[in-house]
Amino acid sequence: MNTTLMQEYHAPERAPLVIERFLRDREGVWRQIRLEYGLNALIGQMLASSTAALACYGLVMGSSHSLWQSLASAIKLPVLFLLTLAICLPTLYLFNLLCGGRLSARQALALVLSAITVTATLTLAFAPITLFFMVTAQSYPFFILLNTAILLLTGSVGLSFLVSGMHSMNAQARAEQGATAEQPETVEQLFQSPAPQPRLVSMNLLMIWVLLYGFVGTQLAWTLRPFHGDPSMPFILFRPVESNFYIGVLEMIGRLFH
Amino acid sequence: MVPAQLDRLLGLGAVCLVALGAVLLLLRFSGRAAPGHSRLLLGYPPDLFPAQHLARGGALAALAATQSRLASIERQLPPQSDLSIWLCAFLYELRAIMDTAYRVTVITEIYGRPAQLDRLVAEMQQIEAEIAEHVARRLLARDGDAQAELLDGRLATLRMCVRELAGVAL
Repeated sequence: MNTTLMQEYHAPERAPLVIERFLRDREGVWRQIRLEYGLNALIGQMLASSTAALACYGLVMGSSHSLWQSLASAIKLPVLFLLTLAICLPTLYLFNLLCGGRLSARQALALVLSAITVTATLTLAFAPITLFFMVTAQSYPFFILLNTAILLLTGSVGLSFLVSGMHSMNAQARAEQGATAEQPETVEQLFQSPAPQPRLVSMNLLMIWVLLYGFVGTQLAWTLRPFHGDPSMPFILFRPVESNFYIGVLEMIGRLFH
Repeated sequence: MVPAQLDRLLGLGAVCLVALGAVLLLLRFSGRAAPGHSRLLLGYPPDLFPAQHLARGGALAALAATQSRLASIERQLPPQSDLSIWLCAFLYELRAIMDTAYRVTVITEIYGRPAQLDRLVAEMQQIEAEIAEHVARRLLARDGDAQAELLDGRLATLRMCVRELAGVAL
């Protein structure tokens, strides 16, 4: 069988490793989202791959404590990202409409899912490093801070990917608006007032949304903890809600250097 | 399970339900980003259809040419007219046919048995010819109506002039 042709048959929406396409052919992905071409398949693929990647990393995170903690973290980590998405998506969509943007709900979902997919895959790529430090360093605060740093770093990369995607989609839409604003093709169009062109997605709005997403994500992570499990304590599904994420991180830094 | 943990689980479950419900509602009832042909994918762009050596010739190229001609006809039609809406729907059908034809061509090429898409192409070209003829007839009829209206207007003006002249003469 011709291998090259077999690879070519794997049209982008069928590629098994969706992240590879994201990193190699970003413009194609943004174009596919803008045209809403094969979007359901792409959304399904991103959902599956990000859930699998986050579940794997959750297993690694929880394995420092016990099997039950591993299983709980394997469920909690995908829930953390996908629930944050579900909580914040309506605001992104409605504020986009309010500002005259042209994003549909499916496009907004695909865009945010693309950011989560990048985050999830990068997080999974950090799994060997996490395992290495789990074996070589026994400090619980260090392990927590390491994982927090990894998730913050990968989350930031994912969100910057989302922002670059929005920039690219705006540029494509601007080019399309330029093309349609050419000379009228029929006599009728000469006498018709031009159709109002929807405004582009506001980047300021997107930045505010990214901040909101970050706040919701950190608060949800704090609510869903523990992800690692304190080795000196038995397995517990949820810790009592006390303090907040930021104070918790500062306390961990204090404990690390104590 | 400790009651406090059960409470948290139930609370998170409720948040999940509300958030997922909102997302599903948005997906179900929100509109599309842009109406009409501006969202239609034309031809076989290389980033979405990598087998360009197949897409640039034969049946696939013929289908792409048919789609391109129909899309240009659709652009000539008044927006929101019944003909434009119908043609737009047909263009989406054609897009789905083109996608399937691409997949079939690539798969049959792998096994060394090129797909026989000639009948499909011929059928599409026949439909294209019928659509073009129908559109031309409709546009000409509309032009004829417009001419008739113009003549009626001129006739009415002339009648008014005649009436006024007759009044002056009396």
